Amino acid sequence: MRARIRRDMALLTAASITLVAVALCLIFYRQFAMTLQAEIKARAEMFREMNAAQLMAAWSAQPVFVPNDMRMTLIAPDGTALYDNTVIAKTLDNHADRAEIRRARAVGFGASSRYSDTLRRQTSYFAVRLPDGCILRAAKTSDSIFALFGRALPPVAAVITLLAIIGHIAADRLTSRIVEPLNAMRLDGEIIPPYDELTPLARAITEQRERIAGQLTALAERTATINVIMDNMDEGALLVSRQGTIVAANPSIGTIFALSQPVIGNNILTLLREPHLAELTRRALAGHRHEATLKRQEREYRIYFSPVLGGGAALLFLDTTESGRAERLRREFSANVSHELKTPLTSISGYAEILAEGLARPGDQAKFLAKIKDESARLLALIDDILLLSRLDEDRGGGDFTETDIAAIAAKTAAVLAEKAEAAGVSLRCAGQEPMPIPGKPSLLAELFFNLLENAIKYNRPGGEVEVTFRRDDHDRRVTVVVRDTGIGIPQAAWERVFERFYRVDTSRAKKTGGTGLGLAIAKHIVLIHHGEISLTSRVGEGTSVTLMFPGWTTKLLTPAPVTAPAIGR
Amino acid sequence: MRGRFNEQLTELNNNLIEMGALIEKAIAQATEALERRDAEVARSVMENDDLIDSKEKEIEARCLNLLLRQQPVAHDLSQVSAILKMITDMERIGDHAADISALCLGLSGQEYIMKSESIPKMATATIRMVTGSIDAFVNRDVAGAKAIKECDALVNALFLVAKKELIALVREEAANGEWAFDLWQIAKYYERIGDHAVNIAEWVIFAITGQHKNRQIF
Repeated sequence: MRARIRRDMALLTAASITLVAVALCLIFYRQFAMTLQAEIKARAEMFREMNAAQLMAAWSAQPVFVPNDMRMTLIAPDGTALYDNTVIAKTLDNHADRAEIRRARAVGFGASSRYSDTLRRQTSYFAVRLPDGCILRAAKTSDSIFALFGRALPPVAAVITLLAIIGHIAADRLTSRIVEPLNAMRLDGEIIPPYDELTPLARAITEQRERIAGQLTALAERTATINVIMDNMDEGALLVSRQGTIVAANPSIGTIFALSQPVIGNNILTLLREPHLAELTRRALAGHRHEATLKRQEREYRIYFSPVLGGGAALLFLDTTESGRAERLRREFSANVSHELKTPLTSISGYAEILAEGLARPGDQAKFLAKIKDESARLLALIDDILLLSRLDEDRGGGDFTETDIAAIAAKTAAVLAEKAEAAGVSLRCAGQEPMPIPGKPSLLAELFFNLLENAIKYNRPGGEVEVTFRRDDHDRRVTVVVRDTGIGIPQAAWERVFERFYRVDTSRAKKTGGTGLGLAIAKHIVLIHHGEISLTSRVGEGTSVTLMFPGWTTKLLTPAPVTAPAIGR
Repeated sequence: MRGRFNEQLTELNNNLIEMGALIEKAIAQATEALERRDAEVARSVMENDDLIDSKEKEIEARCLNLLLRQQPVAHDLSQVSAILKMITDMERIGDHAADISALCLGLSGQEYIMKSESIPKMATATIRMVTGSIDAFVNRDVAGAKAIKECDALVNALFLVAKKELIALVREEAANGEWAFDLWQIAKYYERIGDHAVNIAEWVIFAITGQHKNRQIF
């Protein structure tokens, strides 16, 4: 800017001085030319009344009268030079075609002006017709306008140079005065305009600064929000540019692909090179939505390919390992349920058909009816268990927990089962009179003990025993319950699996004992809902101990715990 | 000029990853055809081999184009030449997968696979090698590429075990000879695939470090 101001200033100075010089030259020259013309005209007119012969006689006799400051030429009417005071007349050309001569011959006088062989000098002529028809011409040579310019040039150039220097300094000062306060203006704090003309600018800057600050804050907040979401979501998120380059990836992507280095800037093929997935990425970039399944590191993901407005695509990776497993288990469970329901029904309808057709021998009828009764009872038990399980799945038994004394509940359940134990020849003991309060739901806990004790009796041997013991931790008030029996025992390989739905250690025995295969699954579910743990140790032929652990009574655990499908081994 | 070259090199890299994915799929499917005796899958592997061949031609043309027009030097040259070498091995792997599939078609209906324990193990190991070598290229992972060589020793050992197993089977029952020879060939193909995977891994190391088989070339 400084240089521009300087240059403009210099140009302006030079141009104005040149123009003034030219104008002055023109005016002066015009004035000078007019004066010259008037002078030669006056001189020529002086001799107007005389004849050529008289003039020549006079000038020859008295050369003093011949004007010596200008050229005088006498020309005969045919154009021949008769006399000239500067050159010998005879050497001159015929002058008849000269403009001033022609005009003088025609109207009595004529003027003209011609440049000499160079442009530097110019000659003005004035001719008059004498009474005898001869022409007297006066001429004077002076500097031409170009010579005048030439002479004026050096001083003008000097003035221009001088003024240019002065202008340069002045321009420097001026620009400094304009620019320096601007440079010194501080834009971070309150803006104080150095001169009044800058007040609107200062105001505009202040306003814009505020607006930008506001927008920046909003942008930063939005970025932070998006980052928090992206960084904390379990789902992997990828943003791919139109060229297939990864533009953004959240930390979960690193986990899914076990990445050791950042992927941003790489091509999406470096992550998903499987031909069908690469194809889906291409289609998403072309604007189509797709879904696909991906297996990486023993886990299963659902990928959602979505085109992004303005080019590119977003890829979302959802871990479906658990839900996939749950879905498989659910299908298995449904298949098991149908199978388990069908088995007793087939027996019932079979026996009923034999009876209805009258094919049974009278002696067998009672036996068949007893079978039908047993199978219906099994069916009922099964339906009850399935309903209970689905209720547990749905609403975790419903309602909040209350302070429940599980020792009392176990004792009550044992009393209910006393008759059954006696019938099986098993002694059933419930140790401990001390109350054992836990947060719980009495109806579910009664169901729990019923299942455990019934199993302990069912899988026992005559003369065996079942014992329930309680222990409360003085430190954290945790309650441990052990249900120990002297039954047939469970092989170690099945210790975990017995808690799975419909799992049976010995399928042939199941028919005899009439179990549903759901008892321990229900027991585990109930324990988990009560924030507890269940485990089992056993020796084949010696007996089994089921250990339950519950947190002691506290108001902090009044809501049933959520139970996931894999936790209960569905 | 440089920008255009980089763009073309990136495109070339992507093409190579695509071709890698194709051969991974081919060998995985060939193995699936072998283990499940699935003639359908075997046929699709043989059909897809044309795709691999045309991909090789495409990449080869791109490489030559780059070499002639851009005349890369130093590291750039090693990249392009490594890719040019890798595609040859990849194409061979694709061919072997198709060969295995062709033999599977002849074997379908036989209770063969249960008889050899080492061939499925060889299949798993070679698939891991091929995937590993392509992963090493994708992630510029020299350590990963070096690990492929270790894996080859396992495949070679399994190959010898497979041979012994098959000889024992033929000795046990002469009629087994017919399919035992086919299986023997299949085992050989897996062994070759392992060797090609090692070659690829060596070129990956060359592309990254300029060293080929521990010899500094660039």
